[in-house]
Amino acid sequence: LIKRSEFEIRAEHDHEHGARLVVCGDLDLATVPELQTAFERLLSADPPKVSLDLRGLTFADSSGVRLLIELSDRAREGACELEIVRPPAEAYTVFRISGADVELPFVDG
Amino acid sequence: VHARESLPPEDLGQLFSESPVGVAVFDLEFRLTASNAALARLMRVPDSAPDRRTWERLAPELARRAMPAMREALDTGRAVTIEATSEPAGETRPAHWLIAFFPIRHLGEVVALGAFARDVTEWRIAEQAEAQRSALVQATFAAALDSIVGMDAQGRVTDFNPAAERMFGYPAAEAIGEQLAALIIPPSLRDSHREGLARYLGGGTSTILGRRISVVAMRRGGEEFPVELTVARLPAPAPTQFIGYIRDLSALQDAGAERERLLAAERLARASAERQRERLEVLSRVGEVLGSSLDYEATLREVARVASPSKSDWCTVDLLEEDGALRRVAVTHVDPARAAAAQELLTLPAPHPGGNSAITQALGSGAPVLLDFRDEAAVDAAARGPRHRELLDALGLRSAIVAPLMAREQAIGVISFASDATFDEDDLRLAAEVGRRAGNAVENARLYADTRTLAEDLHATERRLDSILGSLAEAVTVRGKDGRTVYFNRAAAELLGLSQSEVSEVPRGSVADRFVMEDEHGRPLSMEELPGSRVLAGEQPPPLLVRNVVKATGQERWMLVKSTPLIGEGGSIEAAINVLEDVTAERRAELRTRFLAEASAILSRSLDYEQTLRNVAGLLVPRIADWCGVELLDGDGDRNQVAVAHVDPQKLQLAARLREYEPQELDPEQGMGAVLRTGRSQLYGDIPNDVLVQAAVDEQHLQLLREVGMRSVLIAPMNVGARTIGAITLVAAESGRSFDAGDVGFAEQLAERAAVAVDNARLYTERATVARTLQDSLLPDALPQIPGWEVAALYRPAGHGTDVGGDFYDLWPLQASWMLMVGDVTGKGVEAAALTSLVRHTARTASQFASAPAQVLTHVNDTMRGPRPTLSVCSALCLRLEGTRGTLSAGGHPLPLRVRDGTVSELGSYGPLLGAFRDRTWQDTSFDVRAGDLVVVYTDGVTDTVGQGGRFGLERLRALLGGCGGLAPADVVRRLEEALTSFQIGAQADDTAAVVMRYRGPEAA
Repeated sequence: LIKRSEFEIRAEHDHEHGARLVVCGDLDLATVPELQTAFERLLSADPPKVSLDLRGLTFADSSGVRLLIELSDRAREGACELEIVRPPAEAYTVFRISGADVELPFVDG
Repeated sequence: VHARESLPPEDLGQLFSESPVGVAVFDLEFRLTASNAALARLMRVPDSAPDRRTWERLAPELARRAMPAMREALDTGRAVTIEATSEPAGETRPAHWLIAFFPIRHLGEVVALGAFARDVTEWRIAEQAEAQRSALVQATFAAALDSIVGMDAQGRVTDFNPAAERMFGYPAAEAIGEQLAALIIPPSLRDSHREGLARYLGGGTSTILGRRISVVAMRRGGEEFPVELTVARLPAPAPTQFIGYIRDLSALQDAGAERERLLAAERLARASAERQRERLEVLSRVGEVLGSSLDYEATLREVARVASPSKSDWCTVDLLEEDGALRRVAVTHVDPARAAAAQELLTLPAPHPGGNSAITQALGSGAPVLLDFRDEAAVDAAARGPRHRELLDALGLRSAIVAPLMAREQAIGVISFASDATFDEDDLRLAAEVGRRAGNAVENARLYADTRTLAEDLHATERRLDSILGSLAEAVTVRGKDGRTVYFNRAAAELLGLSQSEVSEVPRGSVADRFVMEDEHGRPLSMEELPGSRVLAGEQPPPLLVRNVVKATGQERWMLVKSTPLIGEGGSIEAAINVLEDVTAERRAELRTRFLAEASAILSRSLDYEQTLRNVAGLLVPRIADWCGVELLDGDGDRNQVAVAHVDPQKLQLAARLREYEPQELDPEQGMGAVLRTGRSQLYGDIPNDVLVQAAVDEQHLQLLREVGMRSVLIAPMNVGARTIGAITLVAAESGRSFDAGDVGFAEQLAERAAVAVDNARLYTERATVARTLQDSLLPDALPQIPGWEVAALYRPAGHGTDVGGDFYDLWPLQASWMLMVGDVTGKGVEAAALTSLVRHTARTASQFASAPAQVLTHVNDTMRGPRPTLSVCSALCLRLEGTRGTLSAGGHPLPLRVRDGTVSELGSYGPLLGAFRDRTWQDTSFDVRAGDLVVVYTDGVTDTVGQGGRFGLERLRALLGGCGGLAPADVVRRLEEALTSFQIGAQADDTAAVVMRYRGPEAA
């Protein structure tokens, strides 16, 4: 009934770029735990670098922002270099509202 | 005056003028005769010598308070000290002064009055702030969910909050002053605790301070449990003291371990289902081959090819001849390079069944034999002479299986598999099954050859047919070319639930009416779709999996139906021979596995566990059981039936009536009583009549029990760790099945998953209630009246669950203005509510000292970034109203909207989220308001509301507000709520709050 973009996380590894999570759909209260679990699982292998590809993000809310702040802290603790590929404008709004746009390691995809 | 005797006047003047303390001299009529620059600064007057008029004009209140003190000083001849407050013009905060009046004597006579004055405003403010901060700390200390324990440098407990009392089991009064190590640290860790403390105090580094560590703690009574600990040291110059925040992780770890265990069980079940599927696939391929032709030698060669388990390299088939010799009819090898060696094996004389070989063993016992060629002795035993041994070595075999071909419980040959991998018990079972089927097929083929001649008149030769087919283990039916069923053997009658007399009485052809037949997807099957009909139509249908339910009794069987044509003399199809293979057990095992996965998904989907359990019960019936009941124990240990499902809804009534016969006190030794007491399953595989008679209380009860037709009962406990919170009862009746050990394992897994789901849901609901109560208490009871403004608020808490976003708003007066704060604490349940409380009170306190919104946000941010165990963030908007001016600052919060003459504009600019980042600052933005303006402050719950076309969004909100011109705030709130409600689809995910204000204009102020 609810027309929502299917939330999907895909983990990819390649030798050149290290570990990579591709996230698609809405990142909100309902889907935050899924991303958190996937990220923790990825991090448990101590990768030197992780890329979080948010180009497929259709929406994010404040819980999504909070999660990314947490993940960025976690990556720092684990001496893992994190980069976040900037989501499309609509999903990026909440990062601008929260001031996380300048704090999180966003890069253009 | 006094000093004039000994000091030069310029020195005296300098003494006064340079003094940091305000100095004044009054004559005996209290007229100010002298004063210094410090006093002028105190008085806020530009000139260095305030006269008496300035004194009275500038600080009338001060003068009023000062007069009595001055008199007292003169009357008593002693110094009198007062503290006075004044509100200097042009300053927002009151000034506090400490003034000492003293008589000045000359030659024993009081000649004048002196005064020393000092501004203590900063001290007082600091003191108040300190008192407020300490009240805040006290409140947090008392209300914190985590234990907070203080310890001094000697390792003694200095603080012990209520959560710590609950967690460790000591009252604070008892704990304080004791050695922390002896109280809450397990004996095994005490030494390292003491050493660590000593090392740190001796100038070493701490491995604990400022980190989150997982460690084991101890309760009163010695129970050890996992905790998460954060320790902070009070900053200098406070005496050395440590504060520990302790969180009980035992529940969390249980849940983690539980999930791990369930996952492992899930994986195991999947793997077993996978093997099951492979096995079914091999068997079905074998069946297909066996049914495809009556040339059994060609068929056996094909079987050898397809039946090899995936890891087997080669396969041989030998048939026992009339004279007792073995004739090899098939050899296959997957590796063509080694086919030559395999070919040579074929040419070697077949072993004589006299020797003690694996083949003779299999033939003699009728059971398959597993050979392990890693063992030299076994190789020697299996080899038939040196050349054979050489060939075996060349083929590099490591293990082999020899399975007898069985027909009518006689071994008529062997099928052997060999591999360079190692076979296991599963492969052995599969080989046995293939052997059984191939044996039957050979026998059938031989029989078919015999029956061919009888095809002309099946009716007449029925007796003959029966003598041949009757004792076959396989169920066989024969359909004549007119499509009517002309023959069932005994196995077929049994499989189809027909008694022998029924078989002979059934009007031939109408037998299909007695069954409901479905394919594996539950689609009804017509006679035309059955392989027999298709064979008669000249097709070559593949075997078909059929679910067959006898209408009269409800007995359910899964059958693999294969059909072969019987070809007459002229090459025409005379009849269809159907072989029905009973795969009920395999099918059920597969269904159980699939069911578990499905049930797990349902169980984790909703928090309404009673409905969820009803759904699961509905799924169980009729696939697994004919009747299913779920009972849960409530807080008092009473049983409540929360779900019951029956294959026949009308029988639900019987179930209810049966419950009335249950005794108040269950027998703890059997049935439900035993399950709830021991937490172990009870299985009643087959309930004979006399057990029913025994169990019946009276004749009526017995009647009822018989009506229900209970054949088999399985009660599985719903366990969470060591607790049993309920039980699932499965009853088999109509279907005629009986539960076995496989069902017990299945039911236990299901019950356990259900138990965990129920437990989680209960815990969750409890937490949700607490969170809701807390949050309700966090909103102001009623909005205050602000002069010149009308205000209304919208508050829609999230639909369900403890994922409370923690939205809040607050509105309070300052000295000459009003402060509005709207915020959203991201986090969960009680923690979010506690944090909300902290944020609100910090903001209120801070605003008393620093009324600029950006400063208030800075204070809140600083508080949130203090030592807290987890990342706490909050979005907030602070807005100060002062006449027609507004000032606002946003911290990670959507910007407020101002509606003026139908035009909607955003006010202010984005600022960083509170508590989230290091070294960030906030900006104030000013704006003006005019009469009729609306100012709307909202949380992201408004714009994030999910509807058909996506999210509600800012554009919809702006459009809605643009059309609200002339409406009172209460009406705007109503419109907004209606718009959100009609837009929203599904449960509301997040809190939603909005405050709408309309400026009426200064005249109303």
